[in-house]
Amino acid sequence: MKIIDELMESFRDCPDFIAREVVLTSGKTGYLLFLETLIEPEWVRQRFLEPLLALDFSAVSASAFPESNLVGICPIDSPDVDSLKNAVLSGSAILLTAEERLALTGYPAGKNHRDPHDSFVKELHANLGLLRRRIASSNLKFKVLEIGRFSPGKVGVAYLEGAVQPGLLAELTGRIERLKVDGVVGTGQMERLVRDFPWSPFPQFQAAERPDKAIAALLAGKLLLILDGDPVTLIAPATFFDFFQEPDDLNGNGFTGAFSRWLRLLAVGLGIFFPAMYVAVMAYHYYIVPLHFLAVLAESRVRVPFPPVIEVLIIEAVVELLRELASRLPHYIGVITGVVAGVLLGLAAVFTGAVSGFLIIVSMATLIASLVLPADLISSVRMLKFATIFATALFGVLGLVVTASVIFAHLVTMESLGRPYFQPVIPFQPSGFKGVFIRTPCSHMQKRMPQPQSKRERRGAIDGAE
Amino acid sequence: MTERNKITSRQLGIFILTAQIGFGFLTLPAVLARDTGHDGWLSILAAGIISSLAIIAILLLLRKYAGKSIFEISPRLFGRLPGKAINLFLLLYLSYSMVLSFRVFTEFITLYTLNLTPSLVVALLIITPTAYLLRYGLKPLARFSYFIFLILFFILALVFLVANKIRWTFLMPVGAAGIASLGKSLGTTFIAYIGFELVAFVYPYVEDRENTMKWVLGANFASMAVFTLVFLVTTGLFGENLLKTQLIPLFELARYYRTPFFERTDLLFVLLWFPLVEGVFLTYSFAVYDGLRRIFAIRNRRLFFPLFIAATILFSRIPADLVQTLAAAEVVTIGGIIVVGYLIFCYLFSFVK
Repeated sequence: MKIIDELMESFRDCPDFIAREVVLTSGKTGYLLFLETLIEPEWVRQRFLEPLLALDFSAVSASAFPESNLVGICPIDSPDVDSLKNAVLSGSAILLTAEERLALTGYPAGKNHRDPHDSFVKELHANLGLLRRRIASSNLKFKVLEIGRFSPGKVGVAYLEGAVQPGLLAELTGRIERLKVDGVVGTGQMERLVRDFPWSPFPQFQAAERPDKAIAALLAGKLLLILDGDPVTLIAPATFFDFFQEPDDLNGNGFTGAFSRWLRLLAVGLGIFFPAMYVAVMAYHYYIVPLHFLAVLAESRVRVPFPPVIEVLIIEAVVELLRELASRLPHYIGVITGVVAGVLLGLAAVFTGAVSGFLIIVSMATLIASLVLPADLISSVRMLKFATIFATALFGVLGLVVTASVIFAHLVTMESLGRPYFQPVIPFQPSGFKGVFIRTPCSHMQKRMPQPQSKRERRGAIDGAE
Repeated sequence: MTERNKITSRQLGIFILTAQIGFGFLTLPAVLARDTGHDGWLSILAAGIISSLAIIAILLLLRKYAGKSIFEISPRLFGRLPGKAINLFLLLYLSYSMVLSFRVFTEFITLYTLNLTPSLVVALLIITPTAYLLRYGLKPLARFSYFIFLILFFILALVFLVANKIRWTFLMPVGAAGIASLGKSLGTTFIAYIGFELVAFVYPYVEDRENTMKWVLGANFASMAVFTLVFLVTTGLFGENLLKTQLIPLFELARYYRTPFFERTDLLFVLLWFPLVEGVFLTYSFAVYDGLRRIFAIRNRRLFFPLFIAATILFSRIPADLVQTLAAAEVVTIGGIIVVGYLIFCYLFSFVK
């Protein structure tokens, strides 16, 4: 196979790879090769292609190359596929002669003008470049699809060939291609269109604004969905426990990372069930509280005229309003207003006897717990919290247990891109625990997490990777 | 969801473990104390071995007719019409067990948590998780059964916490009950292991059938270990005379342990038991739901599903109260033994056929 064919095969499904036939002065043809996400096409034309096209190639060889006239351009003698691929992936432009005896490479001298600021941007092309810069491999592929009848938009699906299961890619691209919509305005809407369980309160794809999070997902064998016009990308498939992981967990001490995850898990439990537990104990099952503690609880409610559920709903409604207020106002005003309003209202509520002091503790603990959670989960937890409060108000602790059972049943039923959502707990996969509940040293984490059912489970062993 | 009914052998094992531990187990120590005194654990071990042999026979039968459930095997062995008649009987047993287990479940929940709420309202509430899971097939249902491990953890923790209070002399002398008394109690104890017969109904949905024997037998042995442990601990703690007077000794055990911040540990166990009993009810519900669909070739799931749930609630209301329900549950006991006997007979008959 000719070098150019092999290169084309290597960069299959890489829409940013440009391989253009050019006519040289001698009348012969050559190939201009570069990755447009790493190097500006205008620079290639002005600083690389134009000087070279003026060159008489019949007199040029690797040993007799007029370097003085062509700054920043150097020859590669007897070029092979690997050296050319590496040069392209490192951000060089290549001109390969038709006989494939000589290749000329050029690299922009200055810093790339598309400085990433370490965050995705709105433009799909730039986002692909951000990924390409961090994963310099032709195994990083992109499938670009078009969706939307009246407002056409582009969706890129990035994946690491050899690491991802081919079935996953086909599943996601199939779902996107089958979409019949007028247009998609954001990744949130996109997720709702392609998710497995459209009615679920839980997120099924993970949002990522930072390239490091996206890269970690790609290396783990997952897919990255990038919508043109939205700086938020989506990682698929996702498990419930993925939402408790942050990129910083990997950077810090293993124990600290694991501790933070346990804290976030505890926060979900508190965020959903804590106010409902208060209602259950106060309204129905006060006998489970030891007598000496029950007296304190009763004392705190002695002036409260409302039943526990009304008391909880009042305070929770105020907390939710404060949260909305903080998110609508500019950051510095929102925080201060939220704190002042929270403190004043809380104090006034207790002093006037509208709510008990103990409930303020419960509500604040719930609020803090829900703020600790990752953004994807916050709205789910808020909704489920109210559902649990209502069920508990009607049926006491049984309502709470039934709600918890339904949530548990839903979590074990759910799938993300056909993969179990509650893995590695159910179905039980002990190897997955290493990355989810405990963090062993990196040297002990040689295997990819089993959740995405990666094709090659051992890290650093991707088919055909350089 | 892809292949929503496909499960692994491991999931089947956990499914069976849930069915065994969830129900019959609750009253077992008290019933055994009445029948055999402090030697009940010998009966548990003996019934465990008998049920293991029954499991081996059932699985060998199923292996002979690879990928078929007892609903397909019966007509093959006994002819089309007799086979269909037997299938209807099997379905009747499953439906009866399901409806009765649901009613007992409802009555116990009402008794322990919501005394003043009408049990029909409680029934509507507790069928919700089942209805949700049943819609999605066997796979999520088997996943739900993993909850058993949380219960087992709490049981072990409780046993550990009360271990220093156990008086082993309550279990002496070993064998005082005599062979006749032990033999008489075998039937009662065997019933606690009932649940494994469900293998014959869900076997076609198992993916790795070569591991089924290992996992189902493993589940049976795990049940045996838990039954024995709880019997030994409750007898060692309360003594056989007090044990005889109790309804659910495990909950009494939970009440016995006093925590500094939680007055009623037994309530915690009642609550934890809810998903487990839900799991038992689910296992039978799936067997009935699937059996009805297969035997009567029901295709319209949208209509059939709500009708099935409504019929379950309606039929469960037939017994007037808990006393009548428990009396009706005696039939399940006999039915269970007949069904297991029939499955073993099928295996033996398959050599003749």
